[in-house]
Amino acid sequence: MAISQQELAERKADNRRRGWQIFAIWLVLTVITDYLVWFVWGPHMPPGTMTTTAAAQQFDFKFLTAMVVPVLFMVWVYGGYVLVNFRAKPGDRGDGIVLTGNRKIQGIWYVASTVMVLFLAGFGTFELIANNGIGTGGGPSPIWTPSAKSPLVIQVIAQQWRFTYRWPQFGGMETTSLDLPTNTTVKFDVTSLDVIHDFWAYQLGVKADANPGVNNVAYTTTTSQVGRFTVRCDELCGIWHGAMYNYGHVVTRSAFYNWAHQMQVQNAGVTKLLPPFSLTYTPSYSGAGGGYYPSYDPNGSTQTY
Amino acid sequence: MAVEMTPVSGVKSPSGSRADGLKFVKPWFTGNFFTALIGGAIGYAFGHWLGNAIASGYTVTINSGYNDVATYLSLLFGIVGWFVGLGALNYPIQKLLGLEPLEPAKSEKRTFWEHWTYSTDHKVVGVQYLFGMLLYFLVAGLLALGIRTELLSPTYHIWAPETYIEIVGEHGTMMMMMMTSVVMGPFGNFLIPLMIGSKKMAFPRLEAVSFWFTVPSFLILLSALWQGGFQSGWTGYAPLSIQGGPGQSDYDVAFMLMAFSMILASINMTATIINYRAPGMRWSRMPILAWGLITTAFTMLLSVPVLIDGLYVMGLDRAVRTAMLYAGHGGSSFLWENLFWFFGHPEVYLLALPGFALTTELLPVFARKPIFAYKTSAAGMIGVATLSFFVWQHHLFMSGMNPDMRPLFMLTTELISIPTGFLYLVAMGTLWKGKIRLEVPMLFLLAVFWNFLWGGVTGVYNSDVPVDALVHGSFFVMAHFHFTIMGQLMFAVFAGVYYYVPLLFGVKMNDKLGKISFWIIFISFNSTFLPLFMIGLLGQPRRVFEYAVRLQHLNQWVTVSAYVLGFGILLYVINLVWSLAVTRTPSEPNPWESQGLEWQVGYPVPKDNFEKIPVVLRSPYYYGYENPGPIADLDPSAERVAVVSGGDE
Amino acid sequence: MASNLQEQPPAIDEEQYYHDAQLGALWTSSRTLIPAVAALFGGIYFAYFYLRSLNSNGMWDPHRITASPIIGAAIMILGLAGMAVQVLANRRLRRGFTLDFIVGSFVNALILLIATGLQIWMLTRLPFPPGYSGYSGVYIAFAPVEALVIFLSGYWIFTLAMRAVRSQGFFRADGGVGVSGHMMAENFRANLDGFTAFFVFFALLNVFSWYLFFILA
Repeated sequence: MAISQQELAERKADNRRRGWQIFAIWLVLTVITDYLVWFVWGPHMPPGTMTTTAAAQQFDFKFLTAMVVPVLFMVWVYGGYVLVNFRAKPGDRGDGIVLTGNRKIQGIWYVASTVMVLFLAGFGTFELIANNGIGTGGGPSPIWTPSAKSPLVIQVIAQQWRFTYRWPQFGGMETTSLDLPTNTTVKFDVTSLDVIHDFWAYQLGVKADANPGVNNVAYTTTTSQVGRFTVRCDELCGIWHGAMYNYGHVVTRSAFYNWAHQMQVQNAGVTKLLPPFSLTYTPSYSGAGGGYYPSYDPNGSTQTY
Repeated sequence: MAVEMTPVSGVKSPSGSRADGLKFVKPWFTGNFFTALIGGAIGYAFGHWLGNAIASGYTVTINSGYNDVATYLSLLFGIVGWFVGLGALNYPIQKLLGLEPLEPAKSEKRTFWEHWTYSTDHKVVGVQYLFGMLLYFLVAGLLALGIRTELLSPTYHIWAPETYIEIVGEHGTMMMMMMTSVVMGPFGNFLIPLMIGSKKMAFPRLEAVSFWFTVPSFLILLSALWQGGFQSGWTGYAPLSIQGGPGQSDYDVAFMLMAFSMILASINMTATIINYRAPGMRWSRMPILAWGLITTAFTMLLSVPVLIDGLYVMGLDRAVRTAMLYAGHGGSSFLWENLFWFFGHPEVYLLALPGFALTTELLPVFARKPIFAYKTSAAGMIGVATLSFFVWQHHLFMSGMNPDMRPLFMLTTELISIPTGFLYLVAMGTLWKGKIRLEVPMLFLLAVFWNFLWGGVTGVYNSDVPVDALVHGSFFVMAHFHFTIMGQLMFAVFAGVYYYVPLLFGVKMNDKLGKISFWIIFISFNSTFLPLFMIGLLGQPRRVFEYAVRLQHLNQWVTVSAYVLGFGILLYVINLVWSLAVTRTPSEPNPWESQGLEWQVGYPVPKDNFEKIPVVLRSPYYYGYENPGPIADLDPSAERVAVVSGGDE
Repeated sequence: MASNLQEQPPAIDEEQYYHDAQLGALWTSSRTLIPAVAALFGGIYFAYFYLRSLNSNGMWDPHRITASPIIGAAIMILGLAGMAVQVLANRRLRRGFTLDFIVGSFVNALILLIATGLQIWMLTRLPFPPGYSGYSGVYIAFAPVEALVIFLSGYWIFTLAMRAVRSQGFFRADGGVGVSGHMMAENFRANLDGFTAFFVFFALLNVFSWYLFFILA
């Protein structure tokens, strides 16, 4: 309140000096850390680069981390500085200065945070569209699709508590294991027979909920990398949710076609018995798990129970 | 709700001319916890009998092996019995006869027994809430240790899978539903009248009922443990929740009771803060905690009814076999996801906002400075609350529901970081050139900002669809919301309890033990949840009991840290209980040298809080001013009242 | 000092202060009740529109069977009638005709009780089993909530009517509870205003519900 003009000027100069100190420490730490994040940690970030979508996810994760580092250091450096310099000395029961606001600082903060947030939202949207849904479930008819003419179609059928795969391009056969060829665009049609599951092929960078009665489509494109990938259920689906996982492989094209044709022949007997391929399945009107709803014909005359 | 809308406290028969039939009717029966238990048990038994009488012949009942109708009816009648036993229904029945009972008198000094009764004294209710919430928190925390124990090994199992899922669901549900009231319950009820200079709350009966809803809610939820639990977690996704047994019905009913508690508390809170402020307590002078709670209350009023709808829809699908959540008969499992998250996302801000309000409220006391950018802080909270209604689909980025809306929800979600950032701006500005006193509550407050920073920045990862494709449903998300909720809200509560114990109970907690417990809690909390980000990134989904063998070391590290965290919290609680029950070191009247109005009344807080209605003269944050003058005139003269009320509006 | 306190009358008329606060609290709470109840029904309307637009497996309402349209319309009209009666009764109250108000309010309470009964009765004679279609589910969700809110509205106006009965003698000299400047009369009127605001809202909401469940279906 009662501060002389001179004191005010001194305080301003002091604020500026301290501000530059904080800025300098922040800048050094941020630059070093961002360098490490981008070049040292970056190439090893999850989920790897087995597919285009996985690589894109890795890039986005790296990008966000690089964006977040300055924010973290802003708070840390500032907080550390303040705690070191403005701690009350033992026995000092006095008060700090009167400072109820600073239009300039507040203004800079509002503008900077808004710009950053809008930029991030724009960046996220761009990445989502540019990568054709970046491996996420895009509903029954995704609006962002890859340009590849005829992708390999795999239907992922989730049920308590396993995944099976149907191959419409291979006679509608059903397999319990999943092999993929290299350098191929893959379309996953994800659906469920009972409760909500989630098909998460970690290294492939694919994640899509398996909803009963809904076809949820996700795209990815494998690279020339071969190897094993993990498939896990990522949505709580009951007591054995934790055990609902299996493994798949990305193999060379020739190995894949060998495997697929072999499976087709081997499973022919079973394929005959399966219901015809369709995008969704409704096990039966009386319920998959044993007559939850009374068995009246919903399209005919009703009967009460 | 409508039953409680009539005035109770403002009515006083003018002395000498008592209206016939408007006589003060004293409640003839003071209900308490034990009578309520008896009533509840009788109601439960009756409901069970009724349910069996009605529905035991239904084909679905015979087939399923248990009777959903009986489960729901027994819980329903159990609750009615509970409130009859509590005496909470006396008032509405008297109203039916046209009587206008006054609220029972408050006692001069709160007794121990009073806290077991159906009391309408806001200080008693505040203390009831405090211990209730602590109990719920500890029970749910214990369950968390159960989860971590199972995750010690990827292959060797302590629990059977169904027990594990039960524990996970119980922990999540209990924390998420109970902790919504952890600030508004104890601090809101006890402190808000003191802070705004009022002698009472607007609707003391609503207040009492709002607490007594939480008790059966907790008991019913807990009882799910020995009824097979519920396997669908706290999110209760259909159709999994439709498969569940009686435990799922417990989830349904318990959550719904808590929803009623939240609505009633919110109505009371908004009515009190808007109407019961002392003269001179302008909106611009209001303590930031009051801003936080009124914002929270409005958010609750608009979001919680939708939760009730969702639970009710699930209950109907389970008990009477409607098909709203089953696509085969014209429903959709997406319906539950929408209804649930329309509440569920505002709900996480119902948890976060009071925590921030409490933190911002206490920070100036220990920084010895006025709040920096007071208006920005209030605006930040209002902004967060408003935006929270427009983001719920970000939980469903992978669901395949409305995929083309994702950029929009990504934008709204990220916009929330702007008002959240305001709160950091306020805190950082408040600390600048303060005289920071690192006492125990301040340590917890600083930890809030450390923790929430992790929670906040990882929130950006979750809101960004491309990165969410990696982290959705993994331990990364789990670590994220533990940092925002436990790291923020619970740390703020630890600070708040430590800070307000002298006002509530007139004793001081042990500083040394407080510091030790703080460091244990803080370090082990970070050591528990920081590695979980990594575990999630490396591909471990939530709620699993089996995970990749390569993640075992990290998981073991986390489990051991969690044990230490549990020990730290136990130490804190021991400190609290020990100080209250054994040492009872008396505290100075205002040990933190706060300028807040709540500290001006002294301990014990008089039964009517203030002898006279005070006149508030300034904001409670005048630290560093040379001659701040008193915050309020506790014995105002007529001239002063005239001046203040003239300047009001 | 202490003796000084005794002598000075309090500068603020506390009774008046908290009376005004209570009137404000009644206003606030009855008006916040409106958006809260709107959100409650809003969730059900959301379910209605959501399932209707999804129309999973063509099962929203395959044969366009609705619950009894006659009873549905009756409930809606009873709500409107109750509103009309109540508005008239309130007007009579303000002119000092307490007895007219009492009669009107009891009639309204009776109307609401009948509506509640009709709503429950209707549930027992639905032309479909609960799991028959999307429509059947949403209607079965809507009906009990509707019945409960109607019943609680009836309870609310009944308590007000009973209060008016009890205090009739007391306020006779003042010209009735609708005119008196007594605090309790003001309190009563604030409560009644809150009820009326809520009830008008609810009766109009009923028309919307009726439109959804019986016309649009």
